[in-house]
Amino acid sequence: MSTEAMLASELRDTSHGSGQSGHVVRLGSARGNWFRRVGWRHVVGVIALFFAIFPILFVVSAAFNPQGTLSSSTLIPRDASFANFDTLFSETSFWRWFANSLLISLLSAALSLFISAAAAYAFSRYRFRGRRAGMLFILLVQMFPQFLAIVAIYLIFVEISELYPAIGFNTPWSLILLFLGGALGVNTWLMKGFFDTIPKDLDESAKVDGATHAQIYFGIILPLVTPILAITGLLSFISTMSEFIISSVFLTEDSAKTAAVGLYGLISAQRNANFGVFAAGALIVAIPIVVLFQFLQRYIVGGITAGAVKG
Amino acid sequence: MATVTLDKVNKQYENGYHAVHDLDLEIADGEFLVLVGPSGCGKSTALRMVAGLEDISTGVMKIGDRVVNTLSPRERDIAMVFQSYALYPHMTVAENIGYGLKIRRMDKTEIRRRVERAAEMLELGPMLDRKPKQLSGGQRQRVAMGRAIVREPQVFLMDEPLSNLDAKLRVQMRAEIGQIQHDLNVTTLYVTHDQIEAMTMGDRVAVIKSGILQQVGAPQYLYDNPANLFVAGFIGSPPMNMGMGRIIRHGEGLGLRFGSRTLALTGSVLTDHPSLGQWVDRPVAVGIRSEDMEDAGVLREAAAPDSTLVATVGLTEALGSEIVVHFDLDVPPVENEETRALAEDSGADDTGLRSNGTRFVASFAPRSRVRIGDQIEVVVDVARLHFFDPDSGLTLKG
Amino acid sequence: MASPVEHVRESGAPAAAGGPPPPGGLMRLAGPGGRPLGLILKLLLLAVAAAIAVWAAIPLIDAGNWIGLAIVIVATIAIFVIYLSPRMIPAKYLVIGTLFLLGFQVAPIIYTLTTAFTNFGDGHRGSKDEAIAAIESASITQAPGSEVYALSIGTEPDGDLVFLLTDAQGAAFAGTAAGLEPLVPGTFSAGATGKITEAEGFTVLNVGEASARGAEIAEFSVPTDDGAIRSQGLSTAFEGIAGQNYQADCDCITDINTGTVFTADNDIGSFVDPNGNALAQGWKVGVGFENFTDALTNPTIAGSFFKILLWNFAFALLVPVLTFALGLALAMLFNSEELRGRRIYRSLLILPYAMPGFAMLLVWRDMFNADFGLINNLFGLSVDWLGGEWTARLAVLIIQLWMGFPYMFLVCTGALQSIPSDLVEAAGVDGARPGYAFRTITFPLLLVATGPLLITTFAFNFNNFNAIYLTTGGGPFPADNPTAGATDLLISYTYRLAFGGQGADYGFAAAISVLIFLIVAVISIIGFRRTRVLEEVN
Repeated sequence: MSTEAMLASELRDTSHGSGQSGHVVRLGSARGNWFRRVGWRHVVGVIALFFAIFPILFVVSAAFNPQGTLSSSTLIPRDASFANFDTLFSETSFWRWFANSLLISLLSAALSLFISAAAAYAFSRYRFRGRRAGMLFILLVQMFPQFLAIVAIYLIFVEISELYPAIGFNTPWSLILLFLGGALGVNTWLMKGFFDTIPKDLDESAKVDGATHAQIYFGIILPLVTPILAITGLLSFISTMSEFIISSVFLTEDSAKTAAVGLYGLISAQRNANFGVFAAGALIVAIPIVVLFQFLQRYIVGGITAGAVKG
Repeated sequence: MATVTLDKVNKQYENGYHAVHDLDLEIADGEFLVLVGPSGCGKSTALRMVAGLEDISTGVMKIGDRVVNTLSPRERDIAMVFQSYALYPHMTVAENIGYGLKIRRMDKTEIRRRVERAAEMLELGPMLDRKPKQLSGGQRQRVAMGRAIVREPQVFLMDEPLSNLDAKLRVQMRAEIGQIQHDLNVTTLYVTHDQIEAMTMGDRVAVIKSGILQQVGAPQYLYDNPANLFVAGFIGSPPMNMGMGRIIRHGEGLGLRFGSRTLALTGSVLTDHPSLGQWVDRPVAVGIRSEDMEDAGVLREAAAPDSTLVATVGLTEALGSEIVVHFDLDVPPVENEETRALAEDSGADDTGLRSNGTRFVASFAPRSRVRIGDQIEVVVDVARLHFFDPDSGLTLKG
Repeated sequence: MASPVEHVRESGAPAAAGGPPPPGGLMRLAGPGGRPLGLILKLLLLAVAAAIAVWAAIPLIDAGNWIGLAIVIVATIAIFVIYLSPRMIPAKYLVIGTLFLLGFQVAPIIYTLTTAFTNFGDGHRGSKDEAIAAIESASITQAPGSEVYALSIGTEPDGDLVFLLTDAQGAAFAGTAAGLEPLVPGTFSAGATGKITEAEGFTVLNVGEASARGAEIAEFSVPTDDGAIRSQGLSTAFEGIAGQNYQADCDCITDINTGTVFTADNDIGSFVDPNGNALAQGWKVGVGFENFTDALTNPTIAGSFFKILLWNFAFALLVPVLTFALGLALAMLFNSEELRGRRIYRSLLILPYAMPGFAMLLVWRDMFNADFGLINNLFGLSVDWLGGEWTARLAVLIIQLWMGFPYMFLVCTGALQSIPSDLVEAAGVDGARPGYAFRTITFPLLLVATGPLLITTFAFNFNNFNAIYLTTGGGPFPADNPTAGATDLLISYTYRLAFGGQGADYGFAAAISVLIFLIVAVISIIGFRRTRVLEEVN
């Protein structure tokens, strides 16, 4: 029996009941129906919301907790002040860290998007020797736990730092370059799947109209894949903002640190005492991501699976 | 404008599949040539080779006097209409139509002038600022046409442009495309699997099967003089009736033993087909068009017994102007590679493969009063019979 | 109709009808309509590439790094060939990404792979010669009556350290890692204590600069005939003699004070005395598959290895399953048209995914704190969450559920919306109950859509280092084995082996990395095969 059929039979039952037992019962029964159809969803939804939100509430409350220690932080703030923020801004290089984070994350997200989308276009649109092998290779490389190669990466960058201090340790470029190494990766697959859903006729039509491959890519394909570009860009921005293992190896000077490395340093040294300051910093870091997320939510819902369906 | 010449063009894929065999075709300047055949016969591949979307394995392809084998599509000065229309979803109608001109860096005012003129021709004026998503199927089709028209190319290429439209729109657009082509007088290569489109639109029709060209000619010529069983069965609706018969000596001349009856082959038949004498006592494949049969009952005078066939009516369709009658004849079906290809194309319809004979379809005059189950006498216009070699499938020549 | 032809000609497009056809080659250059902008852009980009190549080549030439130079040249030539050729179109879109991939992913991986077959680690870093030099210089002690120098720390133009020395007689020397060179009088000036304050060709560091490189200076030694000159503080240096000396004829090191002879064992890369005691400093040698056999057969290592592997699988499987189950349940919960406020619910529910992950992991760790943690406070519990083996595992899973379910919620919402509703309705018409229709229609279609994502989630969590390192740190640890904790994943375990406090063992860590790679790769390939993603490649 379909849902509609069930609802219909329920409705029939209630109207039947109303004839016998009068208004009070009918109203009560209707309310029961509302609960069975919609109300319980709100109950479960609120429980889920609590699970999703309370750690965030805790962070907010800790950030505004004037005592600033972990042990004095509660879910509902007893008192509120900007003391932790003041400490964060005056006693640490937080804005510098935050700027570094934004620079590294924005640039590496944008550049790797560019690289990844170009590769996805080639894999989706052209048949060439080594295509299949290339795609499998990209997938396989991703399965190697990259940061376990950190000894090798470190040694490579020791060499680079010596030869080219401008892109060596303690510069944002070192991290950006390293992250670009991962540009051909899972995202390329995701995007290739999305590119495949765009009919090839469009390319061919443009070709006959006289467009070059570059005009087709920039003028026809890219505008049509904006949703997936937005998603992959956002996801790679988020993961770069949160990255801290490799960053902590690469960025040791205070002025070069990212927010993740800097904030981690705060509580690895003084876990209890600096908790409020840490929470304040984490909150500020979260703001751009949360805003972007709400903004791009529509794309995300459709986009991830659209690519996934096609693989 | 230009002629398009294909000289022994071949397409063989890397996996060995031979899609087009030694295709020779010449499309005259301003001509509308329709390439027709069952799906998968290589007609689209041939079109895409003209467009430059597929490489040419061997042979020479010329547009005008230029050999274009290695030229990219943009260098060939052609325009193409796709089956899916291939409209750019993110551009407005005007941008879609003007895209090819913009790519060629044409002056903006000139682009607008041309787009507006094309839009007017196609009655798209009010739609110019809409996106393709907001258009109906027919309107999208017009935009696709508009995109080809504004380019003012040397050649139009159309790949089943009407197959996504419903039947009524298809008839309308068929006429419109024909009109536009006639007005612009641009050399056109049109691919379709629908033989009605081929018959109604083409100056000439080229029938292709399994990558091999079967016959080229004016539509009526192909209808009247099919070169082989395949063309005979593919062109025309309903398709030509076919059955196995045997040539015998009959009276003074020859006769066709067709099931339980014998049809006398006299006079003009023998002069039209002098070689029939060599086929005495041999089986031949016989083709009869539906309009070349008539209900003996509607004739004023009684027909001679050696000009009629006898059958039981299986189904009648009264269309007003004629009655289409289906009946089973006690003749063996023609079974060879060509009839199998035809059966496959028509969706493995069981025509000609019945155990109790072969199903024939005739169109009788509306005066005929035949009903399902009636035993009828069918008069055959023997002068319009088609004879084929059952092994090679070729029309008996001479 | 003639006018279209005229237009075509005006627009500069080829018009074969009016005149001799332009030859193809010329056309390709000029192009119908041309593309001067594209051409200028392309040339500009190639110019940038050439500039970068020159910028990259100069330090390589200075350093005599010919292999590096060859790589730069080959890469530059490849870029020029690919972008100037009218063919090789796919390569134009792939080459930049491929270069980055090779340089920063493939090269480190290959290096790691080769490391897996060596004993590379603390005590086994460099070559045998480097080991000998290190042993000798470490054993240097100040012999009574040996020369004492006044020391200034300087640098060479390339930044390398140099000891600027003045002996008791006032003679001055420059001591580098290569040896001792006398300074020509007049090219330097010395202060009252004899310390050199200025020297031609060198930069003298001030005390602040010198102390910043203190560790380097303490290690630095200038080889001499009898031993080496080492620093003592930042302003004096002495010449000492090596207590342990290498002799090439016996390939051994003799300790002058004790007379013990340490013979080189080239299989294990150490100097070993007859009792089997090895010197701390050894060198890097190939050890074949020893690291792998160790991991799988050595009872203490293998015991923890398989235990960790089991938990690793449980973790990597449970996280996608739990997050998917919760995400799907919520997606279905909010997939009702009648429900008001769906947008608000959705916006709030995805917040965990938008919060910075590293910070939230640390916050969760503190919320599970036994003494003042929020969880215990909130629910009035007194559980030592991260102290117990199973509670720690549960805590880690809860944290990952929180981190991951919003993503699955988004994915499932999208997938549910993409399943045509008439399919479910058709099942209803066929008489299927809602639960049955879900099981037989909706769920299989959902799995098709989300299957690849589940596999990538699995692969990601198999190596989810942060999830462990930032929360439990792998703990709690059993009393008898401080290297393998209850919540350790292979990757956090490996990290501890490679960088932990007990001395780094990169070779062994690399071997484990290779094993992890093989496991993840095999499982993912099987998974992708089953979801038929790989077939799409054809």
